[in-house]
Amino acid sequence: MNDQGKGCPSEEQLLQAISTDELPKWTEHIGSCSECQALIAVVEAIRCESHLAQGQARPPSTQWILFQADMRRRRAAAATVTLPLKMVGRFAFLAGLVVAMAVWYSVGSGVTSWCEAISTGSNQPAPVLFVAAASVPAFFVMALVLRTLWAED
Amino acid sequence: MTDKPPDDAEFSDFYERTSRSLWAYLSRSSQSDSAADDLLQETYFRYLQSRWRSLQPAERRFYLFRIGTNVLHDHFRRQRRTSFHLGKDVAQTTSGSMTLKIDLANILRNEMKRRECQLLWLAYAEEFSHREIAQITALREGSIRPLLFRARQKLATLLRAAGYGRKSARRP
Repeated sequence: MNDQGKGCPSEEQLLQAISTDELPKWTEHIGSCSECQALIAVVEAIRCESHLAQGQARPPSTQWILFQADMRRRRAAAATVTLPLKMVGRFAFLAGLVVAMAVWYSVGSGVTSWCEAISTGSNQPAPVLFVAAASVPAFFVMALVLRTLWAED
Repeated sequence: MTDKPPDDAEFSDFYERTSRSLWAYLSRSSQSDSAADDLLQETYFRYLQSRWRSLQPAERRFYLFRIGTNVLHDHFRRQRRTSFHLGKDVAQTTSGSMTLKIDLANILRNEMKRRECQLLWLAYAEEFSHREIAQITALREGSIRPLLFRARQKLATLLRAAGYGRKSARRP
């Protein structure tokens, strides 16, 4: 079992002997070798414990495992599909916020001047407002198109 | 009875052959039977999500135990992160005349480190080679032999201290 020249069989030889009931071949040596005795005691104890533990095991049925695995696969697929939609939603929100800020700064902080500019037909803030107003439905349309495309997958 | 699709039948055979031994490994390595139930399911879920069909039948058992060991390590990491340790289960047996078996299970659970149990189990219960054990446990192949030797000596000492000789350790 070791390499110290005590004439021990290798670990593999001893394991093989235990498995095939050929241990008596080594009886004389094992009687005088504490290391081989330790190996045999441990292997027998572990195999005994393994046998008992397998008797205690109550694994679920194969059908249950397959069903749960399928459910999990579907949930993962659904999460993959909805992830880009969530990203688009967040992006739309941020873009809307940026546009709103841009409009605020371009028009000026006074709400009255902004309203006045619209009512008088001044063309200074109009393009920015149009962009802001158009961006919301544009993102809605984009989200709808993406949802239709990914839902088919 | 309805016919199962070929893949399901193949998996069913594999599951029947491996689930009990995998549970035994997870139970003794995690030192908890209740954790082993969850870990077993997680292992098979991950196995089914993998490319198991492309593996040779002989490699599948090794691959399953490799996944099982990763699941086990995730379980230990989660336990450390939450700092919530469930008490170790006391090994239960169905028969009243099994004090030897209870003691043996409790020695493995209470006196041995998790890694030691894992190595001893993979080597002597599942009979994986040192190379396979190294791949399963992510250790260097060269360090398996000394680690196994130390774990074996420790368990042998504990068995002797508990009064088990060669004959008493044998399965009744």
